[in-house]
Amino acid sequence: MWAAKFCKRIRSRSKCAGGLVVSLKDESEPISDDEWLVRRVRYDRFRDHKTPYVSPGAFEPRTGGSQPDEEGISLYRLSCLGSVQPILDFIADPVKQSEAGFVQVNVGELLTIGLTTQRDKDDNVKGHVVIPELSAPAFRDAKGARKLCREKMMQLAELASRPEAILRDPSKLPSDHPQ
Amino acid sequence: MSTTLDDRKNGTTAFSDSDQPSADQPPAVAFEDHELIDPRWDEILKTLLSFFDYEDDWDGMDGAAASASVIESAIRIALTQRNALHPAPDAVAMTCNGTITFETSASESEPFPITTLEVLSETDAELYVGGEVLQTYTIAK
Repeated sequence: MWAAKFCKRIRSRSKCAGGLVVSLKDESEPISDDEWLVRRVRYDRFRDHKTPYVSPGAFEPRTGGSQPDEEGISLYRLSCLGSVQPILDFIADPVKQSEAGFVQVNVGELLTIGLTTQRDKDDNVKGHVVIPELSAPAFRDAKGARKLCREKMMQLAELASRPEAILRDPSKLPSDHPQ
Repeated sequence: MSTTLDDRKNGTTAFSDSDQPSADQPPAVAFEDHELIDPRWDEILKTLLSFFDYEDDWDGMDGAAASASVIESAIRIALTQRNALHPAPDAVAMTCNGTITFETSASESEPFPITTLEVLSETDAELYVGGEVLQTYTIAK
């Protein structure tokens, strides 16, 4: 029994850039309050203000298209990925890859602003979760739930605007990234 | 309250109430090259014009592109505001649902809460802070 667990742990190990080996969580494990979740944010949502901030629009649920956010907006568990690289690697278009930024938010802090998380299977990238309070059905409800959605988008943007929350702002990268 | 976002031919500001008289106000177009125009409007207008090139999935996350009529309405609002010497917003952006937002932060040191004017359709716009809608507008053609 212990050997099977040990082997599973070995399989989920990942090498960091510094050669340090860290243990990654299996996505079937429950989400704990101390975990960090990553949200993909396009470069034009980062505001280069005197005090830089992330636009609340970065957390707006998609209500149309081929993949509306019916269950809630998407984030990924950093504890299952180790870094944002697996998400970046999955973006096939190099232009869109260069435009992709990332912010992180803490699960415990989400709870304090009234947002919850649910695991949601994604065949392409591990550790996919959704925030059900920020879903397409809620946002479509212009006379009702949209108000709460916008409130939560603003609070989430405030959390994601702290310097330690910004993992990758494409306009701040040294190469030929979007300005 | 619903008000009218009038165009510059009528010489009114973008957010003036339609029922308020404005006959004594000079046409906004008279300020076209005025030095008091916030230069940041140039970048806002440039960004708005670039939106005509956007197609669905412009953001790589299945985002809907705004229709030409929504972009035109946003440009009308921007021009009206600019010519009425209003300060430019921090940014203009297309949302993943094909609407257009003008965002203004609370202050330089503390950006939140953000005030947003969202162009929802060719004729409708909404001004809100967080979840609180402050005003709805009908956009005049």
